[in-house]
Amino acid sequence: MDVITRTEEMLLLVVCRLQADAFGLRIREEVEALTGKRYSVGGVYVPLDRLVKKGFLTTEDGHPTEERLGRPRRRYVITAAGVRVLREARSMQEALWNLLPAPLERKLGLT
Amino acid sequence: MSRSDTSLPRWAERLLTRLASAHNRDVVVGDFAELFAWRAGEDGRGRALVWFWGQVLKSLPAFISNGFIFGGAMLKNYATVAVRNLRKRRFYTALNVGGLAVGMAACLLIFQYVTFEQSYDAFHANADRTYRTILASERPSGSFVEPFSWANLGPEAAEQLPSIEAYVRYHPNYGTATLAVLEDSVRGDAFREDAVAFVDPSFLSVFSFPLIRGDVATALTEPKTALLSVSTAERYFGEADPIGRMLEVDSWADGVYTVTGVFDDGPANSHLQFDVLMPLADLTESGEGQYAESDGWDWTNFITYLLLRPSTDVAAVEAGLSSLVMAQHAETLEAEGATQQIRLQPIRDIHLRSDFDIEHAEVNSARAVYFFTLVALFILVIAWVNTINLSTARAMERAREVGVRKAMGAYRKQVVAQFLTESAFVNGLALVLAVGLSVIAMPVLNKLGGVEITLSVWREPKLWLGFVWVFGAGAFLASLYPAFVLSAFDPVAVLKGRLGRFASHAGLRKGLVVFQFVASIALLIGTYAVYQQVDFMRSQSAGFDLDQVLIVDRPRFAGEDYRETREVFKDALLQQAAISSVATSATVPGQGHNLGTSGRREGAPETEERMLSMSWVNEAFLETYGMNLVAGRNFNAALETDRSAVLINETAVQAFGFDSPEAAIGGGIALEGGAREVIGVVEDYHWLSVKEQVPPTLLVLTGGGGYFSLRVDAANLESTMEAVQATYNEVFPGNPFHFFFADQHFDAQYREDVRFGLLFGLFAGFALLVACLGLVGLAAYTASQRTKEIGVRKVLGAGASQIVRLLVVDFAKLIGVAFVLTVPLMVWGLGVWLDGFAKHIEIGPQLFIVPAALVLTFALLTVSYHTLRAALTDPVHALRSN
Repeated sequence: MDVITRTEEMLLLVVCRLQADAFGLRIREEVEALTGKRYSVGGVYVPLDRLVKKGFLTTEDGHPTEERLGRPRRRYVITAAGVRVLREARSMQEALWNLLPAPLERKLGLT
Repeated sequence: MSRSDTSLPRWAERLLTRLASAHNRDVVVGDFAELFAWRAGEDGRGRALVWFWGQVLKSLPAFISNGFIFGGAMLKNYATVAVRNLRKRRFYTALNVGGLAVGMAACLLIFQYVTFEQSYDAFHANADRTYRTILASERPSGSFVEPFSWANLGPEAAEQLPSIEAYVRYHPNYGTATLAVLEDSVRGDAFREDAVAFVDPSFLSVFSFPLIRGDVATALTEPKTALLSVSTAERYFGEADPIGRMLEVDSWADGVYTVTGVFDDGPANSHLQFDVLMPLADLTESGEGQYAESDGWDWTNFITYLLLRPSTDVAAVEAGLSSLVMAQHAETLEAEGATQQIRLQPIRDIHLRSDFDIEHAEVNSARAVYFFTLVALFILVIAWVNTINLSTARAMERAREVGVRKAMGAYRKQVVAQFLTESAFVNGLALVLAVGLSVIAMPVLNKLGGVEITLSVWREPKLWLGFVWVFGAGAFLASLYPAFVLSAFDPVAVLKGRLGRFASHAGLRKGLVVFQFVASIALLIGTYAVYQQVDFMRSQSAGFDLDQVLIVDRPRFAGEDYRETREVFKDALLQQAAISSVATSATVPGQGHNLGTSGRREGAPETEERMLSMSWVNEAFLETYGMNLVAGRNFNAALETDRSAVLINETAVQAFGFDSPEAAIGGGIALEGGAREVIGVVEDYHWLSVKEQVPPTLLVLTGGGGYFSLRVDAANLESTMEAVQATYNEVFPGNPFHFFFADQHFDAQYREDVRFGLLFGLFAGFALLVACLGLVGLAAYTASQRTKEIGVRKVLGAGASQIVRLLVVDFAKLIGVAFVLTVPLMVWGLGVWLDGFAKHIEIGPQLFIVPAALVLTFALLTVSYHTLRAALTDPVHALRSN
């Protein structure tokens, strides 16, 4: 089973959510708005590329536009492996939470 | 494609294309372009450019790591090759690392010093809303700005101005106090304390000086109670519990005090330094002492601190305080044509931004601190220049390696990465060494700089951030240039043995060496000038003879019959052959006059009022201190009329408008307490450092005063001292004997200048060392490069001395050029600095020749080793090598 980091999970989920809008810039904005984590303009591609390399994301180049000086956008799409790893991450997380007895959860102030 | 104002500039596009990895290039450029256009439309092009640079810097780590990810296994290869290269050229690596390490260490030390100086008074929880009141008086005779003001300013202001949350008054003891431990009402050990202060109880809540024993709520609220610092309590009582113990105190408020609390020794970066705190009410409310008759608006001996409520308009409070003061003294101020204002100084500004006519706290100037920052950057740049020079100088050596790499299919980018990896190793190693060096050197700096920097400054995140930025960015830029130069070789040309125009870079190297030496020579000239000035000030006749004057403090527990015992003591001293005269006075040279006041020539209008200084001395003072009378006579203690007479100095003669010293005799000076007749005029003397202008000064006769000044014979000084102490203990039993020498006391005034000189010298030395390390490398390189030429010359009959001359002249020329460039710079810089001194040395060739000779000697010594070696080598080896 592949284990992914919190950051990777977050990015994968954001990519899922944005669907057709999952371009680098939109992902950067969304991550900042949802989690407060800030990437530099160039920086957001480092973790995304890592996810591509691991096979959880693939990319599609869009049409070049004039405002981008003739450069295409790159859209990220989640792969089957990506979906699987997200599902695993989620079920493991839920399993771990569910294993905690409710009274203990309250006692520790987790709820 | 046409570009509008809002689109990304073409150079920016090119920069990004270079920086981003091939894989992401198009997307990144597109992203930047899109965001830039949006920003430029919203905020304008200027802001968008600022944003652009910020983002490029922030994205740098990503660009670099991205490159590595797709460079994959290359990273390991870069590292292996880098280590191999650095080990192969040990001498060069050592020079490079050594120079950088020394430069960085100097920089680290200076940054720590600067951080410490800027951290003053930041530890108070209320630091951002606590202010010190500053009294600015504007009179026709001049202005006077001081932190001292009246006892009632704080209380009355707090009543009238609601934005004042609390006030604290601080009254220094103005001199030494004596405290004696009482055991069952019997006086035990007595101690002299210089740091005694009288404060309001609010002192402990407004400032953050925590009590470790005692109760903050009640501390200082009861009369005759005292708080001691931990170390003071230990000195007095050892391990025993100090709470409830009794002390007999001789200070501004005498009496028996009970210890009710102990506070932590204050941090070194506090402008307030004190060991004993006593209630201010003991001075103002006790109904005795100097303030018994005071209405709270006469003596300006109090420092008032105000704690303002959050988000208060400071200017409004200043205006309120000023009108309070003006209303209080309306009549007198109007008569004098004067105004008085209160300003508020944030307490964090006190240490570095106080430049008032008198000051209570130990202050430093912000300019000196910034100046040292500049020096630190200079040293660092010199070190980086070394890196650039050493690497470009060896371009020839590496050219073949680069050629082979390229021929084997390396991209230029990969060659650049190779060189950057090498310099990352060098910089990393240097940084580790530098941190070690700076930790070792810290005690030295603390001693020279008179500061107490501990490793705790490392906890400041600002400092870390500064280091990371400066070292990281600097190292990167300094290694970028060589990397690009070295990677630019055309492999075909190189492998054929031709280097093309890039190869030598001799012009640039020479320029950079000149720059290094301009900086080193400038620092050395500066150091030398500081020393010359301090020497000059010391050698200036102060107007008295301080060489053989021993000063003894008066006894503090002297009893009712002090008038008599004082005379007994004096007579007993004069019995000794080694003591030729004994004077008493209320102050001594090197510390302030007793009183700063104003007066005018009798009969002159009030507008002729002049600021003047007064001191109380006895009739033996002139003789003891070797002062000269230019007109009139000395005091005569037997004449009752001399009690209302004065001696004045030559400056006073002019200030009060007498035509000549002789004309002043018999004239009158109108002072607050009535007129005094001038009976004599003394030659001008520097009561304080010769840095200061001599003020108009009046000497007034007194029998008492806090000091006995003894003119002693230098021979058998030790036995004389013992005899003096024995007499003292006999006449004034139970008092601590304390003495000092007048010349040392006077010289202590130049401590700050000496300290500045020492620090300056230390860092100038660092700079020269780093620059010379660079020269060693260049000399070695030049010599090795010209091996064949030297061989041929020797075969044709050149002697060793001719060869040395050939090689050394080049370097000497560079230093000559550097010197020529430095001189005008320093003439200007020294001029600015020396203007701050009333008497100063002249700027002339003598200031420049010594440092220049020193630099030249050092530099030539540095280059001569390799040069000599080259000159002495058997030409056979040189010529056979190919």
